[in-house]
Parts: sequence; structure tokens; C-alpha cells
Amino acid sequence: MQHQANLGTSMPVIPHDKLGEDHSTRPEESNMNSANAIMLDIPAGLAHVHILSRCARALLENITNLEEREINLYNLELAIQEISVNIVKHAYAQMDGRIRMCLTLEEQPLRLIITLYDTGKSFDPSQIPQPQLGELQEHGFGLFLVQQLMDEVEYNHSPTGNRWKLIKNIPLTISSGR
Amino acid sequence: MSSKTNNLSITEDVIRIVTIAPQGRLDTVRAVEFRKQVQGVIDSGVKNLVLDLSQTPFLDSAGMAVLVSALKQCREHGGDARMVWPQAEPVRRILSLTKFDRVFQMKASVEEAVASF
Repeated sequence: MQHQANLGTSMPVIPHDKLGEDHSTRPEESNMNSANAIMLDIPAGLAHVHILSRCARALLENITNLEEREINLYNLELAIQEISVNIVKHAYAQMDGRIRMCLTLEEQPLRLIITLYDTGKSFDPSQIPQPQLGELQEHGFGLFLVQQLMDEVEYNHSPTGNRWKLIKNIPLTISSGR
Repeated sequence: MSSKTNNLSITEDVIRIVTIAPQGRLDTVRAVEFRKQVQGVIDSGVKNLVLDLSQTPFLDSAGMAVLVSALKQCREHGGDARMVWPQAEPVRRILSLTKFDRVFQMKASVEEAVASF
């Protein structure tokens, strides 16, 4: 069974019956081939997920004129943390596994593409209810935060595993012109 | 304490309020221990909490779940909880984004939070 969901606002949804033909959605055949891609492959454990989020943060820290610097760095770190934890807790459900992450910084428009890949259990994002904001609700905020903090969020499942693709447009401060 | 004299009743009510101030990141890894610590306080009979996030530089959904759990339990026991705004602006924005600042009574300082009970 395959699932494809556009969890963001602007990424087109690929019909389920087309997914099997869309080999480009496999991470090893998408942005991982980019010459400037950064790739990490870590054990799927809670003690390790911060490595992924902090690596992505470190990549953006190189951009000196990043707008709302601390906010954007934090939001990126949090979004990757939430997805990674979701993979550990739900896709692998505490079983051994690996998480692979690929980071690609694209120019014009400047944006960061984050691909997270695992071989754990798939899930149906449409079954995840939106949190009732303002209510006494303990759970359900993780995916909501990712959706809110990233510009595009896509999940799909294929026979080779699960893939999350997050895209963050990088806002820059306006130059003084000097 | 309560006493009666001629035409005068004096009553003193003492409200027990405990402040919990996580230092450092409040994320999935830390949340497990943090939940145990909060539960220990509640199980000791405390029903009014101040959750002081002023020194919390990072908060994820697992940390948020513990905070809501604490508030729920306080109210179930007839008490309540206040939250002190984090100093870190990114965390403040997350609390606003998730409308946690409407679920909790937010205060600028521990002193203000304690005084509000």
C-alpha cells in the first residue's frame, strides 16, 4: 500500500496510482545525487536524532544575512526533530533501523530541501487529526508544527521505504545597498 | 488557621504553590525524565504549579505534552497551573503558534505567577 500526501500548501499531490512509476521520489534517486548534497545516515534512536536537526541548522548558520536568524534556525531544527522522532517512535516503533537525511541548498530561489528516509512502517497522514488549538490537548502537535514551520511538506511510502520531503524557503535580509 | 474572638473571625489560608523550572532543552529525550519529575511533585499532593520556562531554549511537542499533562492534573485535583514565558523568542512563538498561550495563563515572571493564585 502506498501513501502520498501533500501536507504543506503548495506541493502537488501525486496520485496514488502514479506513485509506483515515480522513481524520482526515492531519495537515493532524487536530491541525493546533487553535487552539493549533504548526507547523513544515523541509527534510528532518540539519542541520535538531534544530530540531524543540528546538522541542518549548522548549514543555515553559514548564511550571514538570514532573516529572523534565530527564529528560522530554531524552526528548522524543530521541524526536523519532530519528523525524526516520529520515525523513531512510530515508523520503527523502537525497533532497530536507520534514518537517512539529505540536505540540499538550492539557489534562486534560495531554499533548503530536506529529505528523510526510513524503512519502517508506513502511515496514513490523512488519519492524523489536526490538534484542537486552544484546548487541553496533549498530543498531535508534532506534525502540525512541521506543517506550520516548513513551506512544503510531503510524505510518501513506496516498497523501498518512507520518505519525508521538507522544503524551507530561505528568507534573506534586504541589503543596505552599500 | 482559624480562630474566633468576640465578633471577629480570623481565617488564614495558605496555598501551596510549587515552581518547576526546567533548565535547558525540553525535548523528547529530556521529556521522559521531566514527566517523572512533574508527576512526582503532583503525586506528593501539590495541585498548584508554576511552570517556569524562562530558561528553556528549546521545546518540542514531547515537552509540550508534559506541560499539558501537568495542567490537566492540577485542574483535576482542583488546582491550576501558570506558565512563565520563555526568554527565547523562538519558543515564545511556538507557544503562540500552538495557542498554548491561551490554554495556560501566561505570566512574565515567577513572582507574578505565584501572586496570581
